[in-house]
Amino acid sequence: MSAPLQAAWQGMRDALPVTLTFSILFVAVGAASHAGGLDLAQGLAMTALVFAAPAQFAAVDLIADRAWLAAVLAIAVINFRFLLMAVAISPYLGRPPKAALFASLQMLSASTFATAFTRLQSSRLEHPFAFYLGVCAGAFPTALAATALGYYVQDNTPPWLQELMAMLLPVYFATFLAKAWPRARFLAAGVLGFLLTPIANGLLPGFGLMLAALAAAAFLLLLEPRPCPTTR
Amino acid sequence: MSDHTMIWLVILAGGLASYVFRSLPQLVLSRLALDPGRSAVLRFFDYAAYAVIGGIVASALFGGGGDLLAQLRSSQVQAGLVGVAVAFAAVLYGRGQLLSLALGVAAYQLVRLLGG
Repeated sequence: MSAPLQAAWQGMRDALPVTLTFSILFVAVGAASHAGGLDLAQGLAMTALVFAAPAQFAAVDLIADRAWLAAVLAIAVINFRFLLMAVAISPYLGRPPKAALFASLQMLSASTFATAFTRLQSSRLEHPFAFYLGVCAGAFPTALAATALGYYVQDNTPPWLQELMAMLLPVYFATFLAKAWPRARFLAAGVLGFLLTPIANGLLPGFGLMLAALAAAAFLLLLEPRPCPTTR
Repeated sequence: MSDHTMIWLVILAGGLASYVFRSLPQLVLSRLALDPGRSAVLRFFDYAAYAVIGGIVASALFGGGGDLLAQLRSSQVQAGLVGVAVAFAAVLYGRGQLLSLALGVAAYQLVRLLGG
C-alpha cells in the first residue's frame, strides 16, 4: 500500500467513532427532515451541503414553520463556527492540489475537524491531507446513508433512544478533548471553552462558542512564557 | 413560489454560507507562510480549536442558552456530566476512543436508570 493510501486508511480507522456517531445522529436528522416536510432529495441535499446536524435540526424546525429566511440565518449562525475550525486546521493540511482541497473542505464538520485536528496537531504526518480525506471518507457517506435511513424510521425512534442520541454528542466530543493530554495548555483551552461557552451563549446567543473560544485562546496566549530579551 | 422551491432555496443558501465559512480561511491562509508551533497566530488558533471542542461539549449538554443553574438540576444533564467525565477519564487512562465512548454512554445510562 502506498504511503498516502496508508495515511487515508489511518484516517478512516481514526474516524470509526465518527462513523458510529453519525450513523445514529443522522438517522435522527433524516427523521426530523421528513417530519419537517423535506422530501428525500432535499434531506440528502441538506446533509451534503450543510453537513452539520445542529444546524440541520434548527433549519428543519424553522422550515416546518415556513420561516425561510430564519432557517438560512440559523444555518449561517450555527455554522459560523466552521470559520474558526477551518483557520485552525488549514496550516496542518499541507499543500495539496487546490481543487482537491477546496472540494474536501465541504466535508469539514465538527467531528471530522476534531478527529483530524487532534491527530495532525499532535503528530506530524507525512501525508496529512490524505489522512484528512480518510477521515472524511469514513464520515461523509455515513451521514448521507443515515439521513436516508432516517426517512424510513421516522416516528419509530423510542424516547430512550432519542435521549441517548442527545447525550451521545457531548460524551463523544469529551473523548476528543481528552486527547489533548498531556499537553496541559491545550487541555486547559478545552476546559475553558467548556466553562465559558454556556456563559457566552447567555450573553450572545448563537455566537457563544466563537466568543468563548477566542477569549480562552487570547487568555492562554497571554499566559505563555515570553522569551528572554537578548542582551547586546 | 411554492414551498418546495423555497425549501430548495433555503438548502442552497444555507449550503453556500456554510461553504464560505469552511473555505474562506484557506483562501487567506494559503497566502501566508506560517510555521505551525512557532507562529503566535497559529498557536492562538490551536488554543481556540481545543476551546471550540470543549465548547461543543458544553453546548451539547446545556443547549444554546437558558438558565444554567436550572439545567444543572436536571437529572438528564447530571447523568450527561457523569458520562462526559467517565469518557474523558477513560481516554486519559489510555483506553481507545471507541471504548471510552461506550463507557461514557454506559455510565450515562446507568445513572439514568439508578436516578429513575
